[in-house]
Order: sequence, then C-alpha cells, then structure tokens
Amino acid sequence: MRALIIDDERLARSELRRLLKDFPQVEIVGEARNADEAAAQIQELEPDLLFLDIQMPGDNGFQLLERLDHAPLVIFTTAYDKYALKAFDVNALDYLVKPIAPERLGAAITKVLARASSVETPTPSEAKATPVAGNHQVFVRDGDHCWFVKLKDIALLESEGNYTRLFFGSNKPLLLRSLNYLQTRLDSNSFFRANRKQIINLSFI
Amino acid sequence: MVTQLAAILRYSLQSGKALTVPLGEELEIVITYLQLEAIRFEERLAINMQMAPETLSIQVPPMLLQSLVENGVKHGIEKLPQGGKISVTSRMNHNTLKIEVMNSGRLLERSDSTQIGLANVRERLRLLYGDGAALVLRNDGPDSVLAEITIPVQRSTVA
Repeated sequence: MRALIIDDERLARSELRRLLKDFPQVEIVGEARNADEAAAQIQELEPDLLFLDIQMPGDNGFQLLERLDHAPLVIFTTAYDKYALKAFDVNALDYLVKPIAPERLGAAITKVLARASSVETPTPSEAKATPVAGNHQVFVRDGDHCWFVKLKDIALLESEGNYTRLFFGSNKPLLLRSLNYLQTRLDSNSFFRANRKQIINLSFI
Repeated sequence: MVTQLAAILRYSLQSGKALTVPLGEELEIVITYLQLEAIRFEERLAINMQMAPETLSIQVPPMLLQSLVENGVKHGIEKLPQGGKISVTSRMNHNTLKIEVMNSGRLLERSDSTQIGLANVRERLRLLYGDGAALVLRNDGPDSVLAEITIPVQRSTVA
C-alpha cells in the first residue's frame, strides 16, 4: 500500500516514518508540508493512503480533502483532541492522536488494509452494476458534518444554483461545486443527466 | 527538552503564589518556551529579543508576557506555512514600562478564537493597576501584529 505523509512539522513526519518501518505493508512514497504540496503530490503519485495532519497552516486537512475529486483512504493525525471527534464523525478509517502510540498505529493500519482489500474485490453484482469509478470515494463536508462517500452510494445530485445537493443514505449535504462541473467528473454510464437540475445514479432505478 | 518543559511547568505552578515577579524572571521562562517551540517549528520560527537592561528588575504580573508570546506563536507563526518572527522588546518610557510582543501574521476581525487569554490579561492589569495599565493589540504593517503592554512603575519598585 502506497502512502503519503502530510504534516507541516518535519519532526512529526520523521517520527511517523520511523514508526512505519515496522509495517512493511506500507510504503512511503512521499511527504508534503502543507495542503498545496499535498494536492500536487496526490495528483502525481496517486497514493492509496494519506497520513493526514488536520491542523496545518494554509488549508487544513479537511479543506485539502474537499479539493480532491477522489479521496484516497485517510488516517488522520492530530495533536488536538477537539478534532478527534470530528474525524470520527467523518467516518474516517481512523485517527491517531500525536504523539502516536505504535499499537494504535498498528490497529489503524490493520483496519485500512482490511478496507482496501474489500474495495479491490467488489462482489460480482457490484462489479456489474458500477464501473471502476463507482468505488471511488469523495470527501464531502457540510458545516460540521463530514463524510467519505462512495460514488456508487450517491443516488441523486440536484443543482442549487452554483451548488449541488447530494443524496445518499439519509444525508443531503450541499457540495460547493456546480452540477455542470460534477457532470464532467462522473462516469456517464452510471450517472445520467435526467434534466437541467438533476443527475441520477442509474443503479438506483 | 524535558528539563525545559519541567521549568515551564514549575514556573507556571509557582507563579500563582506571587502577585508580581521581576521581568527578568518572566523573560527566562519566555525564552525557555520559545526554545521549545523552536524545536517544533525549526526554521519557521525566528526569535528576536531586545530588552532594556533597566527593565529587567521591574515587577510585572507573572505569566502575562508569556501568555502574549504564546498567543503570537499560536495565532501568528502556527498559521503561516513559511513561518515568521517573534520579537519581544521592553523599555522605560517616563514612569511606565512598555513591553512589546510582535509576531508575523495578521489580526483577524472575525476569528474562531475565544479571546479569553486577552480578556484575562486585561482583567489582571486592571485589578493590579487600575486605569494606569493597558494592553493594545493591533496590526502593525501588512504582515505583523503588535501587542503592547503599558505598566505604571512606582519609583519604589524600581530597583
């Protein structure tokens, strides 16, 4: 599993690097000091996993994720407890409070590997119903609520001016992107522009 | 590093006992604190101190300068990807002591901060010195923030 470490403090990055030596399953492909560097490296290196510091100068960890069309798997790292709950809310795989305890890191990595292998081997019905892109997840934030949503779980996208409301499960967050923009990013085999205001996920019909 | 941290904790625990301490003593703890933050921020934190020697024996409320410097790091340096500078200066101005804490960054009109630290500093100054003391916080140029404390100095307390 290829991982990118994102943290503004060099000592925190090297400490994580040191701890990860005990986990040969995780290969560190790069390091970034802030959201801008991270966005560029994510595009270039396409990591499977981010170790993501939440509190950083410039854009914070959540804002970085909102910028991505496809969010990799994420393990949040934070020195602040008040963010811990929020990270839990976002259904993140796991979060680690710094200083990171090796046992907690081990538990988080085990969870990530389990999830990654389930993503790589979709059930036959899923594989038929949705193309590869369906298993991609996006990070969505609406106020204090955050979600990692798989595209295939989104039933409907509805335009509200320059924004778009997503419908998945019982959630209806507003996304700060236009419906026209989203249409260019979605697989037209799964997502059908039914009318000016709506894109429908065909597998929900 | 542990010794430095211990020094800060010891000082902050004991500071509750004394109403005032010599500025020089407070400064030692500020320097210790900044040395610790420098380990964390590395080249992102530059420190500049210019204290007039005659100010170091003047009595000041403990943890007052320290809380302003912490503010400068928390709201200034920590938010800047490239980091910045913290400057602490002190001087006598007639019968008042002026202490200035300057940090890189920008004072925000609206912030998510509780401002409880600043409110505490102001309240402590008022209780000790009445209207004779003041704390002013303002933008000083496009990319630096200045906190200025004024404390009246009685002749008897000048060593």
